[in-house]
Amino acid sequence: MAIIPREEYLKLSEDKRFITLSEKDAARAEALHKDSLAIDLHTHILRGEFEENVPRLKRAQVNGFIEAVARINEDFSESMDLLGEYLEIVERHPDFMPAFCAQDFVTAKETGKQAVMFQLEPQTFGRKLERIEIAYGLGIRMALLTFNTRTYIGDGCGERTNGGLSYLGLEAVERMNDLGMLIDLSHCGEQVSLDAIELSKDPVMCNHVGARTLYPQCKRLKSDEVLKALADKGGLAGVSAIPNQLSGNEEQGIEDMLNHIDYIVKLIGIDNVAIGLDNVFHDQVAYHKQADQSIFKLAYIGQELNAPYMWGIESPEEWPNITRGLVSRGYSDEDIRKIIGGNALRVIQQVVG
Amino acid sequence: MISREEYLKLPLKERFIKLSNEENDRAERLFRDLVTVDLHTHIFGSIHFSYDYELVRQSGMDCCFEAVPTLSEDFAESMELLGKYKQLVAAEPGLVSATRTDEILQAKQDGKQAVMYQLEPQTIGRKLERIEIAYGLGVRMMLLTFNTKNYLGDGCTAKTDTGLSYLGIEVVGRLNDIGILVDLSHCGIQTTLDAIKFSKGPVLFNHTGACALNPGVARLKNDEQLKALADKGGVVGISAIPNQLSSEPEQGIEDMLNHIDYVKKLIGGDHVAIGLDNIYGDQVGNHREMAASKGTDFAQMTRTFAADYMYGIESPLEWRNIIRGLISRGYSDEEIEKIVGANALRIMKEVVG
Repeated sequence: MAIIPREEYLKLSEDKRFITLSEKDAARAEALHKDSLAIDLHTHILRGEFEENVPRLKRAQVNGFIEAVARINEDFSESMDLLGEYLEIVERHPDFMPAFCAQDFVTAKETGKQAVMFQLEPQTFGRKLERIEIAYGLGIRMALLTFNTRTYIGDGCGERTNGGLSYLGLEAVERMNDLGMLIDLSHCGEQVSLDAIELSKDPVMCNHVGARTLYPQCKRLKSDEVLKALADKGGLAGVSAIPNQLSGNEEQGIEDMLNHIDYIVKLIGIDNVAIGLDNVFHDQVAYHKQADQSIFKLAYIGQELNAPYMWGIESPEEWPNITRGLVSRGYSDEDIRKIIGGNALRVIQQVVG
Repeated sequence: MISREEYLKLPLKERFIKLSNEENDRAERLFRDLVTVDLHTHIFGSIHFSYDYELVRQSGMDCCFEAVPTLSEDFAESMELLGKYKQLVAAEPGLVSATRTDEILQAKQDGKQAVMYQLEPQTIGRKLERIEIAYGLGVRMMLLTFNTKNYLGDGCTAKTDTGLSYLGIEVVGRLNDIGILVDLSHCGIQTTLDAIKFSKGPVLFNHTGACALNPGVARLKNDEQLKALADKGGVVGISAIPNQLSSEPEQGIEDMLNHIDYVKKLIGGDHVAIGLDNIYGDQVGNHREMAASKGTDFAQMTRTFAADYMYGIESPLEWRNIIRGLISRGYSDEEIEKIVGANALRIMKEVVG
């Protein structure tokens, strides 16, 4: 099929964007999605005009989001200000609620609301570990240890070196464990990822990644070694829908995402795979072009910009297409429930409470 | 061995290296005529503020590079401290803040002492624009890392020994372009080697010694680092830090001279200078306090406190004892001129202007 521009793509009706299923399978997917507790482990739904996104979010039929409070300048007070803004939006909206524990997601499902938990991407603690306390107190329940480059804690995946956790990093992991703050390693370097998995008492996660083996050029993706270590500790790999990070093809979409899910399930088992779409509520490729102008050069992580968008998983209302895709790939109802939310809820329950 | 308190009550004559009458006259003449530079001082205190102008005046050195110590790496804090220092210098007619080499020579002619400023460590975080600000406010040298990891590289007692980050390479380039000296005294081995490699001009270790003479101390520089520095035209400031140059129960000026001899032999007399460090106060007392502090910066320093002070180079009043010592070791007038000031002035002229 010829590549149509993103704008035109988004005007297509959903049945044209969705994976084709038999009537029976389609009915099964629809019922399963509606009935399951779905969690997206990594989102940016509050970036930009939230009100405009609300109708699309409702059609996503996702019960829980973990929203990234993203200040890549790593300024702590700025990140806390942003958290405050986000909390206010979520608390004021009648159809949404903030989430601070696993039960909040269950309550959201029961009451027909959508719950939003907050993570820092990346952490903004600098050298002050007491900020972990403050962030937790204000509602943060997960933090990414490093973004693409180096911090006081360790090297990011796009850094020119591959050093492990610093002494400060070891202390940070310990403190996060103690408090019940989830550790995310999505943008961390290989050795930092391995160190954090080994050292953490709790399961950790890479909440928006893919398998490096399927697209070795992209340093953001996780090696088999990291994925296995993660699973051995009971952790999770959230598979993302980030264009040009799951494959280098000119046309990319839901099938790429499903390829990564299949691969990781085969490698580490059904209990350790989840969904973390990332920046699906916006024009991601435009965002990446912009990011390339900052100190986070795409070349650092080996990313090119071959595809303009993700067919079938470019917009929040396409979230049910993940369930359709999993049906098309032959997963059982039980397995699908685990991937789209059950595994996420389990780990959140275990670590955060 | 007598206590530090008792030692400081001894007449200077007894603390000085013994010389013949002729040598004594030569030492006095050299100290009067030569431009002496101390590449690393804390005349306003290191971990606590303290200042006694009389000590500075009586030291007789003509120029010092005062370190603005901000271990929190908080930029605003470091700029405020710099402001305070400049204010104190401005209030004292015998002192003058300098930003250029010719201002140092002018100060000597005017019978004044020149104070230049360095950041220990740099506090630019991830913001390159802070280099401009610091330069504008008078900073002419920056230490890239303290003992632990930061955005730029690893410190000498960091858990890992990675090199410069991408940001670190950019920072070195920017410091080169703007004319700020790069100091690597506390940096890890690979960070040191990378910075030397990526710097366009000469860099320095402004307060250190030779690791070969006291191999247990990570803060000292090994032969590979010293040679790489010299190949780039850099300068090594030999410190008078107790329990770093030696681990013996009695330490002093002779240890400092041993390090000068060794480094001169290894890389030549054009690359040796003086950077005493924390000599304006009770260094060992400060070190004990730092070792007991909770922060990771000192927690990993394997520091024994074999000696309580440095015989013959414990007080600023003993500055001239360095020249006496160099005479006792057979250095020529020309060699002494280079070590006590000319080498430092050369690199300052070349890099700062």
